[in-house]
Amino acid sequence: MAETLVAEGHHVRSVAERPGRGRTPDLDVCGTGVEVKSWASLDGRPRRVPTRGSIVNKLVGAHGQGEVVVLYACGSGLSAGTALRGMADYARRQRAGELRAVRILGDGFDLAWVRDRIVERVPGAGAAREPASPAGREPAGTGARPAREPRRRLSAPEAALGW
Amino acid sequence: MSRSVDLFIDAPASPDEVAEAVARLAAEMPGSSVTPGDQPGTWELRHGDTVAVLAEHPYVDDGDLLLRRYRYALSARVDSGTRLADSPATALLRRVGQHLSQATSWPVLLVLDLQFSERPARVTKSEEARSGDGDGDGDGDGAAAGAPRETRR
Repeated sequence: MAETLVAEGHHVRSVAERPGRGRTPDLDVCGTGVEVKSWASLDGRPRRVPTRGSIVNKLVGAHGQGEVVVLYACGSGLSAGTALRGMADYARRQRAGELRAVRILGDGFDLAWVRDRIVERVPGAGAAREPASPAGREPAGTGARPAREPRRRLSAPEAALGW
Repeated sequence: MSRSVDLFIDAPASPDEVAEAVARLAAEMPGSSVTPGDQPGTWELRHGDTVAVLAEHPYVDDGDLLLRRYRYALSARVDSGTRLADSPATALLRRVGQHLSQATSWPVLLVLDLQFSERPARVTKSEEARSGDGDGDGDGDGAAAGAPRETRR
């Protein structure tokens, strides 16, 4: 994941663990703490394809480690639809505000979530667009508010992740 | 990239009572302690460099991982340089799970990286001694007789 971010032009350094001295993010990306979670196989066990619950649990598990979380799902079998549903489930949670931004990278998709909306990064396009949810409407908790104007200036986490 | 190991505990008891049960095991292990955590209702188990936090957990069911059956989780992080199944944190939580399943009727479930479940294996005396020195224990194949079973609330 760090290599991906470096290839996108970010300055990335790993953050050392401090056992017993609080939770830390995995990476410092252009000055922003970024926690990375993945679904790597473990000791030869059959891989479990992530579900929407897997998304929620990985994000909840990242609380306190960094305001920005990247879920690296390439090769895991996670579909874009499941990622969207999982992110919508997470957005409904009371403590979802603990995370400022989420990015999910999977095979053939690259999704980002910024507090109260989901943004799809379109390869080769200059701007992000709002995707339709698999259910044909915006996921609960993300579509109730009026659409915002695209930001002219990117905040630190968005800039750090190249949205 | 860090990973997690969580011991889920289905205890009809207060956080303090669960912490007490864990503390009874910690008292038998040199270099171990159980102290109140930073947040109310949380407790920290320390064993050497390993820190695990006991709290009511926020996780949801995920396929066959029926985590909502369990009220509490004792959770630790493991850095990516260590094989998760062989890490000191996993060994510690295996031992806590074994202790709780023997000393209480509380169902427990060990979950690696929020993906793979593992029933605590029976811990032998020699493994207990090694774990007490912080060298890890058990093979954790989950096939040992007497392993606790999941129960529905």
